[in-house]
Amino acid sequence: MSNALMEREGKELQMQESVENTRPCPTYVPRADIYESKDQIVVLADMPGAHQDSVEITLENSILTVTASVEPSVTEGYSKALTEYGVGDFKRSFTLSNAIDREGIEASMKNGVLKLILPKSKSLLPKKIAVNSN
Amino acid sequence: MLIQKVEGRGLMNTIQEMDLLGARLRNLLSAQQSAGEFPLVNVYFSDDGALLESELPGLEPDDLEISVSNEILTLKGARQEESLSQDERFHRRERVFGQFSRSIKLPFPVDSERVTAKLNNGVLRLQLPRQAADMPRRISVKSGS
Repeated sequence: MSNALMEREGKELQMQESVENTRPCPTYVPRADIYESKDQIVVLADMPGAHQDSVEITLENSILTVTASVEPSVTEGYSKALTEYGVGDFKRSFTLSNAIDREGIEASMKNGVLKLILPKSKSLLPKKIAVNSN
Repeated sequence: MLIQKVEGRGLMNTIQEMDLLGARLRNLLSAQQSAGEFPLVNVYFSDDGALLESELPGLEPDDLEISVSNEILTLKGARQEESLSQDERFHRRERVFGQFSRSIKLPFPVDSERVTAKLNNGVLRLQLPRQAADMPRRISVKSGS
């Protein structure tokens, strides 16, 4: 696991959980894939039902937080017959290391999947040093 | 006085901790549940049909095949995974991919001509109207005189 991107775990997360929600719906942690290439780290998170405009990404003290609010579907005139999943907001936090170029972070949303591109900062990319024979 | 305060707070902490444990247990159980079927569906009934919703993040309408025959609804499709190039590697893989097929039996035959399906932000919304012939008919009773 790269040190560049770590999920927030432990005490801080517990404290977050004990904060009461002001919205009447539950909050879910979106499932995410994270992969790394030479010059960037990509996070893909499933947030079905979240519209592009409802997604908020904040970076504070090297903690990158993704939140998205999901509007419950209109089911007027219907009664529940089978409920296999719950509908609610999404929230997940990641800790960034200094190796990320914060200015260059890009986010896009497509079909309910968030794609976060976190470019590695240039100064930390591996440099090839040519050896001259003298 | 001081002791009472501390005790009071201690009790609150315990209650909060129990709440937290409960929340974690629910998360754990719901994760177990979702591991089986894909996609998960929510179904609603009304007098003249059903509404089915399903979370299918990342799917394009072309990736999904919906068929209805009388009271059986089948959802079929495939979720494509991002293909990584050689210099890319995964750190975390929580999302599920692959082919899926799921059939759901409704308590009434569906009018397949009038089924509508919408895929918005990764959520499928299917309107399944009940066949007119199957609708309960109201028979008015006249007083015979």
